[in-house]
Amino acid sequence: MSGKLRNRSSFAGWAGPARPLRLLAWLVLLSLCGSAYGQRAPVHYFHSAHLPPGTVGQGQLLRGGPLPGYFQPVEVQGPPGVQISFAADGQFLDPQPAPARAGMLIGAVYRFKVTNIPRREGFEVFPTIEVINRTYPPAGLAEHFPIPIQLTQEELELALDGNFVLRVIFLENPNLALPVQSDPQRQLVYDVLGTEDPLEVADRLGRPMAILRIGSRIPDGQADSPRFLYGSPPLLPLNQPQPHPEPRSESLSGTRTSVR
Amino acid sequence: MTRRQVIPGQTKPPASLSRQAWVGVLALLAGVTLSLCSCRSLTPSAPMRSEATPGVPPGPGATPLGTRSTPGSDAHRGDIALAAYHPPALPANAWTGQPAQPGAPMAGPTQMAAPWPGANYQAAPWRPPGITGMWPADEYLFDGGDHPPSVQVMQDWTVLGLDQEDTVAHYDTLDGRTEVEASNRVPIYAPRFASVRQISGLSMSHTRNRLAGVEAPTEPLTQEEQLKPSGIHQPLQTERYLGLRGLQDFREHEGTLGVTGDILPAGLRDRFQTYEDFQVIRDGTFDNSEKARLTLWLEAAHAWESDQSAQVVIDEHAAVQVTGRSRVQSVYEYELPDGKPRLRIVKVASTAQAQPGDEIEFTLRFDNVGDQAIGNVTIIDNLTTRLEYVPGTAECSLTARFVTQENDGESLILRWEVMDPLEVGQGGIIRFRCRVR
Repeated sequence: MSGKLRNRSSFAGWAGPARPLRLLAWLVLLSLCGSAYGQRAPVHYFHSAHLPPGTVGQGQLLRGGPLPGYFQPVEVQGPPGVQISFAADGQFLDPQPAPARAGMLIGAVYRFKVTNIPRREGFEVFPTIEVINRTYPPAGLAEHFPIPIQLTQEELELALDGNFVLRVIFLENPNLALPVQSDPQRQLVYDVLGTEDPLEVADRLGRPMAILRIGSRIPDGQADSPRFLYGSPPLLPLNQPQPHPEPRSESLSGTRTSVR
Repeated sequence: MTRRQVIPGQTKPPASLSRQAWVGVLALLAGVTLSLCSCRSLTPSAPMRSEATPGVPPGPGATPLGTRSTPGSDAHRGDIALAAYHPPALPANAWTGQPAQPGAPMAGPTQMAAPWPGANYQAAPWRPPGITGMWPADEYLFDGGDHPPSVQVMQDWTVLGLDQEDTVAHYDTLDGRTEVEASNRVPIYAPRFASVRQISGLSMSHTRNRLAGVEAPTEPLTQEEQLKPSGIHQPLQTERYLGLRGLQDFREHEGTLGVTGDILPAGLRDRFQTYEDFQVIRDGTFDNSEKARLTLWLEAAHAWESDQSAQVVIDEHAAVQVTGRSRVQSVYEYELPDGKPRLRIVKVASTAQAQPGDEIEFTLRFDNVGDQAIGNVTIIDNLTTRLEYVPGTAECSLTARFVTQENDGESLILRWEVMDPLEVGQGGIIRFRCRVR
């Protein structure tokens, strides 16, 4: 009798019923992995703010929800005298004084031009805005509560000096909000080091809404080239809303707190 | 040649089914299971596509500028634009400024795509299925109610379990018990934005320079010369060192040792605000016709109160709630031989939305709706972190002692202690203003 040993890993040595069972076990294991991927938390930990513009927003669209097609109101604020020019139809529109408002699609990248910068007249900065989430205000109040995009004098000068400024604007979690008297003209800013991801920090502090990128890049050739304007996605211009009317104080007859 | 015998009525498969057939059947079943388990959870509801969406014509008037099409721009875009960027395709029912087509399907979440004025329809904001009340919670401020654990008042009127946003009142009954009553919860739409900033730039550079020269050391020729010292300096050890260093961060936190304010309000303004125009606020009479407007304040807050209903305990016996949380007011009833002491407290705010820096006026109306007098009525409002009490704005229609105390959220606990007992049918009004942080 020939004593040749069979190799354990050889397919020829497998018992008959073990092969389909093992195959079935692998398929069930793969199905469990797919469910866990679909049940991940709605945060951006798999993304980074340093990804190319538009990547984070497109990933947000894939999460579902009423995001595609919604024009999220955005207000660009800046130092006094700054002029803002949004881009539409492949060219920059007429400049308007800050604050300037517009409705922007989620996931798209909007390039705009900043001119008439104080102490740096004659220089231009071309930041981009990427809206990655939306608000859900009561009906009729969307224009009164836009996402504020603040351009400070310091950041504009840093960009003109060759630096790259990246800001992730997020909606604060009321339970984590700092008890400070917030000035509406001055947004609370958390500075992070270069080793940290601003998007991940914003995810921990609240709900990231938009990414602002300011650099010293100037357009190669024409400033309104489609590549530079990211295809100039649809833009909905918005006017400055009228302030809320103060509630009138009506005098009620005989109402010396007429308490029984 | 043999022939297989067929037995009439036999349902069992032939025993000679091959092993490959069994493997195929099991693999097919597993494949179906895999598709049902994982693929459904990974299916995006609205994948982005680069193709233009048919059925979304550009509209006039407030048409988004990017959708406007001119012959020149079409040719220009067709050359270079779409190769670099693929604009997101709008769904067929997205709002683009075009008037809604009669009979067009509006199902799906994107029907709320244009909630601001100017759209052709107005609808309630979208919220996930199964979610009621104000959503999402991070865009709202809440004040009022009683978070669990519920507020309890000890015999010496020490208040336990008072959380932020809580607004409660406690009072003593004729038979010596102390009871607690919570107000309704008021939502205010006040989102606050902040940002995380990262500045990166060139901070260091390395350059290589060519060697310009060589300095060869030479052996020194020394000459020693010893001179008598002409003076002696005695070194002294430094006792202390004073240096100027800029303050980088400063945060002040003063612990509260006790009551930080004790103000007796002189009275109450003789005017009612517009938002207080309810019969229950004016004279304490609850009118059924006002329930619809009053419930507006509560319908959204109702979802957030699912686990924090008012907890009232008298003498370690749970009280029976007569009216539910779905109503504006809360009335509690106790079956006691000496009577039924009750206190109703209603809270309204001057506005439903506010920006950071805005001021909101709150009004609290409390009434003795029982059949016996109650005493030591105390109303407590623990403000949330983002609400800052405006000093000097507290008013009370009854003689009350007003006390403030700092809470954990670096805001204040407001406390009104009504001096005189509340007779049956008697009530009062409290007003105060807060600034949104």
